[in-house]
Amino acid sequence: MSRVSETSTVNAIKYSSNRSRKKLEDLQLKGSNLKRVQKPSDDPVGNMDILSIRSRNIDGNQYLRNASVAKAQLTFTESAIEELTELITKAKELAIGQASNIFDPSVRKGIAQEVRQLRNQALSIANRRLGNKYIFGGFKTLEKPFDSEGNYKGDNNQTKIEVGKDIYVPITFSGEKVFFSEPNPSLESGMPELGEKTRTEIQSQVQQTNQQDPEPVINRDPAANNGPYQEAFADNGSQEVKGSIFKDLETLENGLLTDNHFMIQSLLPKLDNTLDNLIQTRTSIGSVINKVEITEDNIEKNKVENETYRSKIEDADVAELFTDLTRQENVMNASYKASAQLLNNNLMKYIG
Amino acid sequence: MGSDLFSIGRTSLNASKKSLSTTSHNIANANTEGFSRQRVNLETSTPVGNGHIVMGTGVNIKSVKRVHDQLVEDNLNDALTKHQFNETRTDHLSSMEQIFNEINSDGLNKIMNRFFNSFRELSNQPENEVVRTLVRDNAQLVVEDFHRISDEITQVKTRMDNQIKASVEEINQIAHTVARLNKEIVRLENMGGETGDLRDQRDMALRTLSDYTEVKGYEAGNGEFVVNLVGWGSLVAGGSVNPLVTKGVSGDKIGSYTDEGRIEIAFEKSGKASANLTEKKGSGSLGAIVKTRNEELKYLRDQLDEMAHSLVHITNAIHRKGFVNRKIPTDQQGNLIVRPGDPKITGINFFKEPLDLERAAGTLELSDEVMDDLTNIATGLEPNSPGDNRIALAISKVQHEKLLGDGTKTIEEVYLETSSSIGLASSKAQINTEQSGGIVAQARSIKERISGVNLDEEATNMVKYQQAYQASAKMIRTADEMFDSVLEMIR
Repeated sequence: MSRVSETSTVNAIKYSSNRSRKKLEDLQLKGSNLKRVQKPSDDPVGNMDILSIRSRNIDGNQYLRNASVAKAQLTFTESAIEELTELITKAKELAIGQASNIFDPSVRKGIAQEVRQLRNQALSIANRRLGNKYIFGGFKTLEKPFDSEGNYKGDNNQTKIEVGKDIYVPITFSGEKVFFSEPNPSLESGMPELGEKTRTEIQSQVQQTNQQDPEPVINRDPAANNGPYQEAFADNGSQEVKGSIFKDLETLENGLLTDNHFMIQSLLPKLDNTLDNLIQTRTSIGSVINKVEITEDNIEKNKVENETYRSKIEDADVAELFTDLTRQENVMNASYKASAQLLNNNLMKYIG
Repeated sequence: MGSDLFSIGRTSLNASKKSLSTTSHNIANANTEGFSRQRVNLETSTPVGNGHIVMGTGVNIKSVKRVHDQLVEDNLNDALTKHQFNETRTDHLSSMEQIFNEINSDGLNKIMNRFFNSFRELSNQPENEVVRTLVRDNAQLVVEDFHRISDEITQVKTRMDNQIKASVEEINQIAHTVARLNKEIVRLENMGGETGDLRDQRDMALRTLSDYTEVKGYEAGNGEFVVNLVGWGSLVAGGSVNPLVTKGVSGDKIGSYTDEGRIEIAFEKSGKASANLTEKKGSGSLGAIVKTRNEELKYLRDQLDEMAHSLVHITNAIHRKGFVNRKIPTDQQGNLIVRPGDPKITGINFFKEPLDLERAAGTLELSDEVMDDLTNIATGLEPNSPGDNRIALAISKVQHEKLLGDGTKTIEEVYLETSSSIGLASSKAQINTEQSGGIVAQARSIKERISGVNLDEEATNMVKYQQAYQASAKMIRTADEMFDSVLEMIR
């Protein structure tokens, strides 16, 4: 039989009670905020997952906010174009009515007045603002895009925002393309390009400062439109092909005032063309809105999934935790009792 | 014949008394740390022969020895060294992981995430001044959190260096104690004195040394007791000490920033370069500090610097391409008019440059331009385009760029990996500590079982020796009475 000494007994008691106290303290801490992971070392891999899920959720919330900004702007633009469509339809009806040789001059004067009204209305739509931003000015959002003559002062750029990771949607449509009756604007959803020149420059700068930096710093779809140093209208053919809505309406007004029915007739196919383009633009805006909504749905869905996963890693199993806590408490009580018995007994009590 | 009885009685009385006093000494030191119980070794004294009759002459106190097992003692010291290593590592690693713990609070990861998302918000409304304030505030928070982490790492390092200094002082002090005990033990033993208690003290000193680093104590051929720092050299030889010194190595100048310096350990006598012990990290608490400081702490600092550095450079590289968010006058042809002396309209850094990779996390700042004027936060790639958000979009996209680890990891991934690897090291150290703690408890218990005092045993001995004492006294009285009878016979 091995020998026992006072110190070895006391040490054993100290060691075991310290151990069970520590375990109890650990459980108590978990019980206080119901989290299984308190610090990275509790679950190093889980810690990584938890933090990265949290980041994804913050990103998700930002994307949702971006999506609602995009939707607001797109819906606003869509209704503007809808009004414009109605307006052109109205003008077309008037033009058809007056396209023949048979007319009443006084009626034509009145109709010319009406066309003048339509033209002014179109101009006010063209200069419409959401908040303090002109929606048809390209990047020049703080200046009136059309002057009173109907000349375009904005540029041909499209603002895009990110509504989901790597999903970019256009939220503005160049006034030139809409009002100068162009085919519908590009709906490219890639990230806006910083330009080939810019990319290589940044790369070389980064490589200079940091040898270990990876090569493609700004890796964007080169097919995306809106090259920055590209001349705004260079690729859009010559000016006269474009029939400006304002010009057309002015022509119509002039035709009515000068009783030139050939002029009015020649306008009809132009107006048809304009209507086609507007409807096309509206359809594409609708499809962008649709895309934004699908993205929103996906983000919401991901959020729920992420939350479930995160909770699985981070949160304590309450039932298990409290069972453990009770059991550990019992263990400690038992060890206290045993220690008390051991400490209070020795031979000295019985001799002497 | 009668005198024989007296002298046997006297030796018996002496033996019992010595045994009792040893028992008393044992009981007195029952709770003295490092005390080994002592035992009186008795032997029968040389018998005398009278013809064919041999007569006993009583008992002789041969020696008082402590109950001690060198092997068990060595095992305990070994276990302590390993345990101290693990425990000190756990201590430092858990304070390091707390720097990165953002389970229950906001940390750098969340703050950087907000920074990128504020650029995303800015891309929604690049014209908006209020959002620019948000961007700048969030960027400022990123800067501050990088500074916070860098400062906390420095604090941990300073604490480690102070501990190294204190440890070395303690080691030297213990070395002198051991040397003094060595001399005392030799002196007493030459006079035939008892040295059990002094040896206990020396063992205790060695055990304390074992906490700091791995030591080996042994008796050399010439009888000198030598304490060897395993892998380093001898600290004590007999009565002489070879003390350690710490050298504060002043900070290296790195760019415009001075490193906080480091501490090196060397033997005082052998001078500087030849005996730089810092690199020879053994185990024990000293080894743990040196290892943790040279490996994990350095790793943390390097990772953090790299993160800060690449964040600054990529953000700046993109930001410089942008134009300021204010109206720039143009001439008739639409060319920008910039007169000499006008504030910059493009090529503006978001963070302050230049920034060295070394200590980047501790030194990064927002650029003066951005601090002075919110319109210097560029969103547009073209001048006079308030609705142009391409720069803001590109900066928000840095979040997903694989900038680090040869183009395989984003900043966030590196950060999470870093915090998790410290967590992993810490959890490993915790498990090791628990294990080695168990081993220490076991080794200590084995030692205490052999050398410790058992009060029950001592009580039994006390009764036993008391009775022996009483019996011896009775014996002397009997002898006395016998002597009296003889005297009376004569009268």
